[in-house]
Amino acid sequence: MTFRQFAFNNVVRNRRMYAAFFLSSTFSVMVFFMYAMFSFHPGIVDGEIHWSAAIGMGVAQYVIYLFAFFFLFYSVSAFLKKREKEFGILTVHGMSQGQRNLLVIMENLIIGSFSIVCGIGLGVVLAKLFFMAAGFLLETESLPFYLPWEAIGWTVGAFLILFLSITVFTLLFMGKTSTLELLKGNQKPKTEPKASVGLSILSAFLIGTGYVLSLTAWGGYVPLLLIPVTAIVITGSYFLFTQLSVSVIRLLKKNRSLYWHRTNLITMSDLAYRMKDNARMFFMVCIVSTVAFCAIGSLVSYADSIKQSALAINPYSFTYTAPKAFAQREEQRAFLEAELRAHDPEYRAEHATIRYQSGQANGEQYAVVKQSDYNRLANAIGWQTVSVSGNETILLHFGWDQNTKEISLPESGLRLQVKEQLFKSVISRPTVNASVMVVADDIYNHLPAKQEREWYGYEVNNWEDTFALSEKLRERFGTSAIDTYDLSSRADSYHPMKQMANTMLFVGLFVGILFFVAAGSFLYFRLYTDLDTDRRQYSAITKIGLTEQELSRIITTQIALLFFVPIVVAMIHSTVAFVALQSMLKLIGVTSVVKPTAIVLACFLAVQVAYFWVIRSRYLRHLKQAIG
Amino acid sequence: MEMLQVKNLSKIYGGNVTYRALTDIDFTIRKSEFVGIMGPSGSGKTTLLNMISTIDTPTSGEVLLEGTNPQKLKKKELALFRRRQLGFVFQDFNLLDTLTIGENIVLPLTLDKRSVKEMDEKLQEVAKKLDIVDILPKRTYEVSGGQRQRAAIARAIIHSPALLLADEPTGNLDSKASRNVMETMEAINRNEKTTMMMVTHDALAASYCHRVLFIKDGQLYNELYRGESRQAFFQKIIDTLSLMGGNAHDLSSVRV
Repeated sequence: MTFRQFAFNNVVRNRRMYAAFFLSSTFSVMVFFMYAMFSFHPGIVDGEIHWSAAIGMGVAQYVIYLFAFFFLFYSVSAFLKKREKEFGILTVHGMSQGQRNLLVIMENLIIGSFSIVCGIGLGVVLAKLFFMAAGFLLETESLPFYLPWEAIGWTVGAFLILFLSITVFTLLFMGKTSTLELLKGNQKPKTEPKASVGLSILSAFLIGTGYVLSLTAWGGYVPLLLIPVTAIVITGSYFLFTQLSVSVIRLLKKNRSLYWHRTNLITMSDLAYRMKDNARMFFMVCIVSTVAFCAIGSLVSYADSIKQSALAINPYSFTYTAPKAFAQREEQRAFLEAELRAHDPEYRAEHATIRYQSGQANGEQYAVVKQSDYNRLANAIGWQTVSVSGNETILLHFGWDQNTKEISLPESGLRLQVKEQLFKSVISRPTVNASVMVVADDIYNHLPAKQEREWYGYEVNNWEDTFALSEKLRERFGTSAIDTYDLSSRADSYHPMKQMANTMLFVGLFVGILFFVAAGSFLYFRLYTDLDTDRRQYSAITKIGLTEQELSRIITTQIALLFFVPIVVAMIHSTVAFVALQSMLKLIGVTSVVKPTAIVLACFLAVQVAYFWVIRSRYLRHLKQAIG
Repeated sequence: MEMLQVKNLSKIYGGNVTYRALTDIDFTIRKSEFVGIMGPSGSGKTTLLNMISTIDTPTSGEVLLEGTNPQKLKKKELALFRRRQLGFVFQDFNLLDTLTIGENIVLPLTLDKRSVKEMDEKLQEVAKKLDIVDILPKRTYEVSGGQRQRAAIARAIIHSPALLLADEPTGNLDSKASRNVMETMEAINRNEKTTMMMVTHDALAASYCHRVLFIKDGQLYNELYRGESRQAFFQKIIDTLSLMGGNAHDLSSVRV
């Protein structure tokens, strides 16, 4: 038997022992590969993607790699820890440290290459399914399947480096352990983690500061505050799990009527004891889930707000305007109305006449509409009406100074007092290509009528389906220009926005679900590294007399804490982030993030609960089998 | 009064090769008696103990503890029965690393929903008896093997069980600690009138019992009563063991 055969046989014949490590490696390869496959997808690379989504995807790639690193590092060290006894025996029988290192490196490379192959294979299959499902759910054309050589290359390269460096890292750590300690293996009890009160207080302080900053920030400052606040909250969360949690458990343990109550004694002491291992994992899961929640939440709110912004930009489904002097106006209008009637026989139409006036400075043009016309247009679609009297005016979509108090119109010699400025108008700026002014009817009648434009608004039902109709109209009417007609349709502006939002949402969902699954699997492996210790411990307690209900109560509490503490903290973090986000998104027209976000968080929670029940019952079954 | 009755107990392990571990074992232990079970490796001592402690089920025959057969209890009642009626001392202590010595000792009471005040009183009382008051706040890895085993004994008797079962309690201890633990057990048996049954390899440990039963190849082989002198009893045990044909290795457990 050569050394290489020994290494190979060691892996192949010890399948069961290596399986967990192999599975976790395969899993992280798969996650990374699916993501890479996605981000190199021609449909994504060439498609129109919002710059923010592109940045988000770039960041996500690093986070996934980082996550894979931690995840693998964790599994390798847990795996080697379990095998300490084996290494002890080998050392006693004369294996040199060099040979041991070689053995570990060879084994890890064998497992690593297998898991890279399997991970990519699984990734290809799952990605295909996911692309199909997402395309179906989001009503976009499903992304075509492709064989992603670039992604394969990246994944293989990245993970070979990862496996090697992690192996070297762990060997460096292991080098110091003596043979005797190796032989005793992981029977050696760990010491209880200690917490510093100072750092615990610091943690509460940091999180508090981060929260206050993001809750009170005015929208425009949110992007500036983003990085410092994120850093503060991440640091705070780290200390929350490593320090504050230990301190809190300490404090709870002092209350003996709680601590010495039934199974609490076992549950709480176990919790404190394992906090050292758990803290880092809680932290990872918490941060990863926060990222996932925030990404998905903001994308969902964005997608949700598309319709609202389409409604704001185009109050009427169709707006047709043309100069009074335009010869084909009546003909085009008749055609338009006939088409609309074909789409929706009960369409509503409104009409107004606009008089253009030159302003005094800047060469600004004003599209003046009389109050009775404006209010009729507003009433017809349930918008807010306005009221002006005397020589007052209301400015709509005014592009210049927000403090303008007076406007003079040299052509008529009128000086008008600005009553207020509104940014929400039934007559939107693009349809008239000027700032809109509402004036009282008799003022309007005094204005010179040398340049007039007819404005027609049409509101139809099922406006979402009129994209093809507006294309047809454009084709028929020819190119629009300032001296001919102008046609503006809500479906026109809605359609591309909707397409983009759907692509972004798809990316976000994909990344979010990936992260969420990754976090879940992290918990799963964390749990299974403890299974052996737990078996020994509970078989000891069972001999003293522990009923099955008590056992399941202890296990349920422990697993519930493992599953929900990081997630709940992540949810609180992301809720705060959403509040800050809302004040920023308001500026770009997204009105509500509350409802979509609540739905997203509720869905995640529901999945987590299901996951928890499955894992819990599996784990309990394993334990009960071992106890007998 | 009979505390424990073992009637025609047999155990056959099934599987590809059936193996007869115990054949028609029949004995009784009276209240406040201290009985040792000895025998060579593979003689069936541990199987017997497991059946008395309700961890294993007999193939035929029955075990009666204070007249009731615990094997007939439901799973949950069985756990409660073990918790309230039995006390266990193991070779490898089975203390939980996550708990302090004191917390380990009160564990059976905590599971039984006793009040903190009662638990505290009992803990102090039992710790004083076993001379482990000083180490109560320490963790299991901070104390010696003998102290750990005394803590385990304290845990086994804190709820005043009807029967204390010990499985090689000195197996992991040096001779001084062994002596100390056995003296402690003897004192508890004498002062608290606790009924005890101990399985052991160690002739010295067995010499602290009132009576020793010898098992060989799954059958009762002999029975010895202790007279006035423990030294003489020890000698008789050694003689019986050599008579049984056990080799030197079986006479006493390996000292670490």
